[in-house]
Amino acid sequence: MIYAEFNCHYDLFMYYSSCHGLFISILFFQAYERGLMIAIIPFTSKILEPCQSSIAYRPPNPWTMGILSLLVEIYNLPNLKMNLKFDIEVLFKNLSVDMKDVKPSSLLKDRIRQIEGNPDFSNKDVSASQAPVVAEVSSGVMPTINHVEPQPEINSTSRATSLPNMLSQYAAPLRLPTNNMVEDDKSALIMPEQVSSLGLSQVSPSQTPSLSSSSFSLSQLIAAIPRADIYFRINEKLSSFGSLQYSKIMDMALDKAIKEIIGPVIQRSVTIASRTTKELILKDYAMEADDSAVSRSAHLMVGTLAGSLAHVTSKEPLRVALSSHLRSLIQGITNNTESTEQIMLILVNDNLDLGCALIETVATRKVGLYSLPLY
Amino acid sequence: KREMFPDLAPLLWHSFGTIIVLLQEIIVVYPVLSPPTLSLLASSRVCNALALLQCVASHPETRSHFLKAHIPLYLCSFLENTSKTRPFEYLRLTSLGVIGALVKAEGTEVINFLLQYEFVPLCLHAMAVGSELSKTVATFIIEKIVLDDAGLGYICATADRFFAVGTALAGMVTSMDDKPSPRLLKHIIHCYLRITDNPRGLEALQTCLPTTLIDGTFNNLTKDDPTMQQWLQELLVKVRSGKMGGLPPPVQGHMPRV
Repeated sequence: MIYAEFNCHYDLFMYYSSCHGLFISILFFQAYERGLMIAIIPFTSKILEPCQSSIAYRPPNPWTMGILSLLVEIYNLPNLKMNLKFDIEVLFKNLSVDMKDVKPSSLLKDRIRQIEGNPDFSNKDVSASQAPVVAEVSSGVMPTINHVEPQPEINSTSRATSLPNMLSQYAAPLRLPTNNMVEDDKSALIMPEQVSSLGLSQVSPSQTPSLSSSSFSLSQLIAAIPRADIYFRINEKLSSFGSLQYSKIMDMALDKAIKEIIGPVIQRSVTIASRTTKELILKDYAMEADDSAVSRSAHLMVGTLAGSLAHVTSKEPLRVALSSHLRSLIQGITNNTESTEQIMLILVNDNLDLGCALIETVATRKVGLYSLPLY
Repeated sequence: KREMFPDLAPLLWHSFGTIIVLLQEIIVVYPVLSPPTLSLLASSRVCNALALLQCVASHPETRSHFLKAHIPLYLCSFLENTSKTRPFEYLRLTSLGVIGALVKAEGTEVINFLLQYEFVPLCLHAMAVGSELSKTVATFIIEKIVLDDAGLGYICATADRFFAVGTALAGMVTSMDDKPSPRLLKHIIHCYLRITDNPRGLEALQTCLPTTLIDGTFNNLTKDDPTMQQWLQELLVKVRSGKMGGLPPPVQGHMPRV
C-alpha cells in the first residue's frame, strides 16, 4: 500500500526520514551552538536539493519551507562566513525560491554560541555581535541626601475667602476656663527665662536677639497688618440697611478686635514655633555644611508653624472680641435688640476667617524679623 | 504595626524630616476645625500621624526631646474643639492618648510641662464634652497630675481652679446615673481622694462632693472592685471627719487601651 504512493526512492527516503525523527532544525541548533554549521549547511543543501523534482516535498511544503526560513535567519547573521552564505544562495537558486520571499525564522536569537575557534563566523567585529554587558552596581556610591523643605501654606487671603461660611443661629459656647482664670494662670505660670530668650543654653541671653514681651509691641504688630486689599463680605440680607454702612462698621470692629487679641496670640504662636523649629532643624540638619540651606529651611518652617498656630489660636478670641464690638456699633444704628444679634452673627460668620487670615499673615511676617539663634 | 517595633520611636525622631512631616500633617487640618468640616478620612489620616507621635511620647529616649520641642502644644486646638461628631471625637481621643502616654512616665518633667502650658483646662473640657472613653483618658491624666505634689498644689491654689476641676468631676458623676462606667468612676474617686490630702481641697470637698457618691448609688460597682471600694470608703471617712490621712495608696489604675 505504502509503496504505491511514491514514485521514486527519494520520496521514500524522505518519508522515512521525517517519520523517524530526522529533525533538521534540532541539528541546526546544536550545530549553531558548537560551531558545526560548516557541516550541517552543505548536508541540508544536499538533502533539500532534490525537493524541486518531488511532488510531495517541493515548496511550499511546510516542512521544506520551515527549513528554508531557518536558513534565511542564518544567512542574515552578522559575520557569517562567505562560503556558508554561498551554499545557502545556491540552494535557494536550485529550488527556484527567492530568498526575499521567505520570512526568516527567529529560533536562534536566544541561543548562545561558542565564540572561540568557531569556524562558522569570521573573527572581525566579534564584540559587536555580543549582548551588552550589564554594568555592575557600585556599592561604594552613596545616595544623595534629599532635603525636603516644608512647603509654605496656601496664600492666607485666598484660603480665608474660599473657606465655606456657615450661618449659625447660635453663638459659640464659651469654653472653660473663665477669663479671670486665664489671667491667673498666665501670671502664675509664665517663667521669665522662658520668655526672655530662646537661645541655646551656652549662649548668653544678652548676646542674642530676644523674643521678650517688649519686642511684641502693639504698634509694630498693627503696622504689619496688611490693609491694601481688604474687602468684607456683606450678606445680601443686609443690603436693605446699606452695604457701605456695614462695611464701615465691619472695618472699625475688626480693627478694634484684632488690636485687642493680636499681642498674646502672636507672642504665643511665635514662641512655640521658634522653639519647635530650633529643636527639629538642629537635629535634622546636624550634618549640613551649607549655612544658607539651614537658615532657609528654618525660616520656612518657623513661618509656616507660627502662621498656622496663630490662625487656629485666634479664632475663638477674635470671635468673642468681634462680636462684642459689632454689637455695640450696630446698636448705634438700630433700636431692635433681636435684629442687632442677627446682624452681628451674620457679619461675624462671614468675616471671621478673614480676620484670622490677617493675624496669620502678621505671625508669618513677624517671625521673619528675627534670625533664629540656631548655633 | 507599632507594637512590632519596640524601638520605632528613636527611628522616628532621628530620621531626617520625619517629625517635621508629622507636624505638617497636623497643621493642615487646622482650617477645617472651625467651622467644623473635618471628614472621617482626614481625621483618620491625622490620627495615624498622632499615633506615631504617641510612640515618640512613650519612649524614654525620645520623651524629653518631644517635650523640649513643644510638640504637644500643636494638639491644643484639637483638644479645645467642642464638636461631638465621630471625626472630631476620634481626633480628641487620639490627642488625649498622646498626653496620656506622656503622663505614664515617672518624674516631674511631664507634669510641670502640662501645668505650665495649661493642659488642665483642656482635659477638663474633654471631661465635659467627650465620649466615655475620652472622659476616661482625660480623667486619667488629671488623676496623674493631682498625684504629683506640684499638680495637687496647682489645682488647690485658687478657688477658681478648684471649682473648675470639681465641676468637671461632679458633672461626670452626675451624668453617670443611668449608665455608669466602673473604670471612669474609679479614676474619679481616686482624684477626689487625692484632693483630700490638701487642706483647702478637703475643706472644699466637704460642701461639694456629689451626693451620689455618699448615698450608695454606686455600691453595685464598688463591691466588685476592692481597691475602688477602699478608696471610696477612705474618701467618705475623710470628708465626714474633716481629717487628712497619711500618704495616698499606691496607684493601681492603668492606662486604658487607646
